[in-house]
Amino acid sequence: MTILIPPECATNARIDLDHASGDEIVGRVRPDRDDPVFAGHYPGFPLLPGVYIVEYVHRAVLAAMPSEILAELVSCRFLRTIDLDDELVITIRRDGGLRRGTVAVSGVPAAEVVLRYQEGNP
Amino acid sequence: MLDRDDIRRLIPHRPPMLLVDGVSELVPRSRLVGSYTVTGTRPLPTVLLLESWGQAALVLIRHDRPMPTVLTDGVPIAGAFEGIRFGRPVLPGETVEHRVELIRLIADTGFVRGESVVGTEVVMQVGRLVGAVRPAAALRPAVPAGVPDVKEST
Repeated sequence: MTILIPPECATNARIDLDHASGDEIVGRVRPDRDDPVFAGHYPGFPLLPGVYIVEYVHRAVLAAMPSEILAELVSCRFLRTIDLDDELVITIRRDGGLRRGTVAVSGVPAAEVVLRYQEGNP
Repeated sequence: MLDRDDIRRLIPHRPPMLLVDGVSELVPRSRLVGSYTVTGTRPLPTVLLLESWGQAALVLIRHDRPMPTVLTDGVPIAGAFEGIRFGRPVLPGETVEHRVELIRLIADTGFVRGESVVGTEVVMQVGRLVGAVRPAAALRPAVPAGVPDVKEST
């Protein structure tokens, strides 16, 4: 199956949505080990780019609300490294105009990502 | 003043994840202007614009201490992003210019801010990025330092 990559996205990792409502999105993703990026990030030491974590959270929002346009990465903190074999559970809650995402591995938070989307977008 | 070959000697990123082509201005411990030209047929993905800016910041921080190989020189990792505002996408054929300002450098942890422009148009503002360099062995204890991560034979 061909996975359509939104034009602003870098990864073709598949997001599986477990739950999506106006206030909460829960999804799962596994890093794509075959992504050519790992040849250069880094040679002999494949490491998931931190910006991919940001994109996974954005992709989970898009999976639930495809027409959203990202305006700002308000904040992102990386709490621990993520292995390429890890399954990431993404939980996103609406907080006014923000989307607060937590990325967890085996129940332990690995990153916190807060995104803001353009207002007035249908 | 620095071209792509120079940059390969300074930072460990390699294609397709080497996203800085040149540096036109570098004031040590202060600021840098770097550039990247988008190849291919797709706009530069949003998060790769941020990655590209971060690589330019790494050149500013490590230009006097080259780190071309992660296994021996350490691994650059992102610690935090704050206030990253995105404008319009950078299109194929366009050159984006990254302006990086060093806020502070504490041991191997750097705090930087700045913006990216195409021509006179701001396409990204970076409120703050915190980046660090960690020993490879500290990130992946299962891989002894100096031994490449080898895929299982097929």
